[in-house]
Amino acid sequence: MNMKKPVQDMVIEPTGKTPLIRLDPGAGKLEFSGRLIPEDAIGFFLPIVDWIEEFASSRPQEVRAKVNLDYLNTSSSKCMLDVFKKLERMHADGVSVALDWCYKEEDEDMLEMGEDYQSIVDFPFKLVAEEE
Amino acid sequence: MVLRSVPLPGPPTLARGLRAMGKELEGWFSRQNCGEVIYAFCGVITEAVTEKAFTRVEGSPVLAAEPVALRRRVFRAFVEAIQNLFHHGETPGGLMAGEPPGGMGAIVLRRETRGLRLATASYIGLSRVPALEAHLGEIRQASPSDLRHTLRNRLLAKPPGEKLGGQRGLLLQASLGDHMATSFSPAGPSHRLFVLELDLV
Repeated sequence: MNMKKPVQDMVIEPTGKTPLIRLDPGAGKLEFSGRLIPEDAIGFFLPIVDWIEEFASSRPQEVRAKVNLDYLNTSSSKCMLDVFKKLERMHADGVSVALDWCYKEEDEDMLEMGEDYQSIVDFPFKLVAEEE
Repeated sequence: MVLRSVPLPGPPTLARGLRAMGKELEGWFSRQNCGEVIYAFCGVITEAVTEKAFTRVEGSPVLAAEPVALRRRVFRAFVEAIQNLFHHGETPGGLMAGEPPGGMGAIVLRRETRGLRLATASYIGLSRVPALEAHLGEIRQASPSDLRHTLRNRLLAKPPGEKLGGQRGLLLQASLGDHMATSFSPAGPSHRLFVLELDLV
């Protein structure tokens, strides 16, 4: 019998250029916290995108994502959109998906970036202002 | 100040050509690297260089005295500027064998009377100049809302897994700065020195 292995937790520790990433398939939680300014954004995102694809194929019931970034460089902004598009696909397939885009309340750039993503993706995408 | 001299790889004839090219960059750098400098670097920009640069800029006591919103904008512009040099700064003659990936360029962030100025210089091959000039012309014509609209459209235009290219970095810098000036000056027979100055107040 072909038993599919359960999707494993993934934790990527933060560095000076990359955020803490916690991907918890059991709780259906995805968290990005810190700064996202690597030179090789595509290389950095490869294992994350692979994980999300594997997670999606495990047919989860819900996904709750929290993105709380201080900085996001232009190359990572595209990779982040690729992740959001995968969540959008899951949402279209019937998974309950919701995302909180957290930004510091005076940080207009991160607010605008969140607004742009919000206007692009088609799943519940909430902008959450946080105190400094 | 962090200063790394322009490397001189290759055989003597090639090295002489590179030395002449390097003088353009070093000349620009020495003229810029004065006053209340927060960060300055000239040479091959690698991942290690950018990592140290981010730490230094963030820890700068000069920036610490500025409002949080301006500090954020400066840091964002700085990240895009130095990473544009990393990705797109041409190294005439190429990097030396075994040298980590990077791009040649110079970057200076300093305080001026009216605010902060971020300036970069890098080599660009003659064949790439017309496209960059055209793109800069579009940026100059654009209003802040046009820039944001274009940034969003560039994000949407690329298929998954593809890079955005350096032009989006320039767009973002333009959207963050209060004034952007650019110039191209001769740097040998096959290159120009591309200079970008961004005022942040």
